[in-house]
Amino acid sequence: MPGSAEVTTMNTPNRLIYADANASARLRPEVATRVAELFTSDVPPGNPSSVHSSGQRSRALIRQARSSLLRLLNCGAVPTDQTLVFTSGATEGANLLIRGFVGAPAGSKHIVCSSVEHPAVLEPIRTLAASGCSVTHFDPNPKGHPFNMCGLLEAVTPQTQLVALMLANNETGRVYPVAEVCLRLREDGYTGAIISDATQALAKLHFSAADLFNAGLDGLVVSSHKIGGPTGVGAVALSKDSERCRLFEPQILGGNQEFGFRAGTENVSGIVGFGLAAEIALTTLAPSIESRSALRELLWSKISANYPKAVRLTPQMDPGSGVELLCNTLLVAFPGWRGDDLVVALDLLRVCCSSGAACSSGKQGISHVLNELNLPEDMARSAVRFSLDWDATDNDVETIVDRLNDVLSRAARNTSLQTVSESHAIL
Amino acid sequence: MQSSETALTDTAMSKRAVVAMSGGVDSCVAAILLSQAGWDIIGISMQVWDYKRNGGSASRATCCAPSDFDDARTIAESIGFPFYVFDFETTFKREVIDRFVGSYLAGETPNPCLECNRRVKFHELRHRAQLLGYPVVATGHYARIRPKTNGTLGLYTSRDTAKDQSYFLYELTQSELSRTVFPVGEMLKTEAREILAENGFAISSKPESQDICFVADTAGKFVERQSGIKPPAGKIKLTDGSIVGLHDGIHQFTVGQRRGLRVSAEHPLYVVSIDESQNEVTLGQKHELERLGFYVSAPSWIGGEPEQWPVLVRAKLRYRHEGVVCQVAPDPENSEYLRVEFVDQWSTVSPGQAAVFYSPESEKDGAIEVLGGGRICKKL
Repeated sequence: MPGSAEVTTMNTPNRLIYADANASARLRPEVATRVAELFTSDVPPGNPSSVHSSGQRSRALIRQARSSLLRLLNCGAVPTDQTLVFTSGATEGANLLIRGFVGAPAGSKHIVCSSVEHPAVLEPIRTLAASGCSVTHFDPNPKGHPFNMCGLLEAVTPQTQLVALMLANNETGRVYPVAEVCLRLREDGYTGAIISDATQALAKLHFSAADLFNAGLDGLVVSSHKIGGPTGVGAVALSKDSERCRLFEPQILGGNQEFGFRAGTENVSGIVGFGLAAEIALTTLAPSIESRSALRELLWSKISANYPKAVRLTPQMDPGSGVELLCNTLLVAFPGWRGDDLVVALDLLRVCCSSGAACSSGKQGISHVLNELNLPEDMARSAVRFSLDWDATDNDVETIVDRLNDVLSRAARNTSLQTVSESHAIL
Repeated sequence: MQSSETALTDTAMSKRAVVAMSGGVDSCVAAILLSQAGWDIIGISMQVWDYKRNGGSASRATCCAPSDFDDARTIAESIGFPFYVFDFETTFKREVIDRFVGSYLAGETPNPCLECNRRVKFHELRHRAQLLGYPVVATGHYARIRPKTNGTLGLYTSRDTAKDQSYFLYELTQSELSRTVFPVGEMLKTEAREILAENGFAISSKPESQDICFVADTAGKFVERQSGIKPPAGKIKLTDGSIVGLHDGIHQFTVGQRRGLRVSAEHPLYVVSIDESQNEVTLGQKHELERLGFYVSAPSWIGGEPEQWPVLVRAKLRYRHEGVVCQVAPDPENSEYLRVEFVDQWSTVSPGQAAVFYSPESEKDGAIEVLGGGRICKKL
């Protein structure tokens, strides 16, 4: 049965291959151990706001985790001019950044955001639009061309209060020139807030929050379970020096936790898990990015060799044009197939992947990101995303390709009346 | 469970099936039975309609509300077979909804369940399931498939005569029948419910309606909303030609309809005909509905075309119809049509519905064979 827990080795037939890290990365075993230790400790971590030593222990654990995450965000350094606020995840973080910087009531404010942002960014912005804000969506790569800097700059007006551009896209793996955008906007005299969703970029791309903040960014958001930490925890990093941050409006009110930015008793075990995942990610960052980038290209070359009709929707690596990619993401169109059928067929063969962002209703459709690519509908519907996890190997790539082959060759075979033994052989 | 074992233990058939699960009792029991008989199954719920986007009330819906699939998913998890929700919205819109609307605007009374079964459940679902490696489609339909002595497969009514759904399945081909299973066809609905209870499941209650699954209010209003067209008002006449009123859209009428005419008369009045080209509805008394017979288009015969004509059948002219004895033969003027003549008594004929031909005799255990059928057309 797919998903059942069992001990498997590289050579176990029907070993589960997890290639959906962009939806959620596998929990790092060290994190599982550490979090379990916390729960079973004789001196359980108390409420970090408490005066007694149990509470103080928790405070210390959080401080440690905060520093670990800041180091991952800043290439090993711990900056003094960044505020890191823990939240319940990136969705809360994105909502916090947007509402925090735009404030209420929306009034005659203007927001600019890319059309390929994650729903956690698009939805709060859409709600602000419903209450009076005006919003301009810009297409970051019209007709697949390089970044549409002009389009973005033209969209910004004296009324613009917020610009949102993700650092990397969860579906295509494309990386956006956020630092350059910040520099250009500030040069142009833009004084509103600039935020970036760095959820997918963390631990999958070399970047520095300090560089982004120096270029003029005001805030970014990240998530724990995308880097092998537990679900239910994320963080927002804010630039302390920014004028906008002084006017930031916290959204969840109550106590004074997280420097007054986000009330509520801190999720100590989750934060500890996040911190440890960040530490591990930092120590393995360079080799992980390098190896996964190679595996991504290996996967593409094998897929296209076996199925020449496959179309690569993740941009090609092209050092000349400055296109950067997430190390692990490969979005491929399989003309003649439905992406959602392929995902199910692969799931039945124990390969986990997805066709576009995971949809909360359980049904799959064409994502807004794919719509932006201006592909014919059939091709957009045929897209499958492979996003390799932190422990991906060559063997995983070979296995994915083999099982994909099994599925793709079925259309050519006569499957009308299979005998029982023949049908079992597929698995 | 003896009688249902026939289909489930047929060794010639591959025992890998996709079970079309609506979340209702019947499809859930179908999955349980197959799984207990050792089949390798996957459950698929077909998302055909999005209430949020298309209007209508999800709470009054009979299908496709998120909670419907929860029941199916719970059973899949308990028993341990994979379950997926597939998006069929585009196909459903094209093959079912658009045809339904078009038919109504042309003054006919379509039955969309026919298109859904034929084109969505037994065609697209089968095609997609085959690509997953599951050649057989299983559903919770009340109907039976049996091998006949002449080597072909026959489609028969279900054991529970009140629930029989063979009417919707008359277009299945031999090839499709050989790869289809109806696990609940041999049982009574009450027995199906017992199986669910015995296995410890309770299905959240939902209206078990015979009405169209995607229409939350009335067919007429649905057609207006979907098409964006407000069919024009026109005249209501009597058979003698006199005008007795105005209607507000021919799509709101069905031949044989008695209620909702808003015309008073001495005798009860019925819709006798609907003229799309003149946008008129003609009323008459009951005896004016009487006719010798009707024509049927797109005929299909499950066991192949009859060798001898005419064929004596019991014809059901709509789903809930007890059937009427008829003689069927090819239309001498156009072999693509069949001419169906009433033998002893006549019955109201509504163009757009299917006429399904059953054998005039039943088997020893009461099963009645479905011979074939076609679409009732306007030709007089």
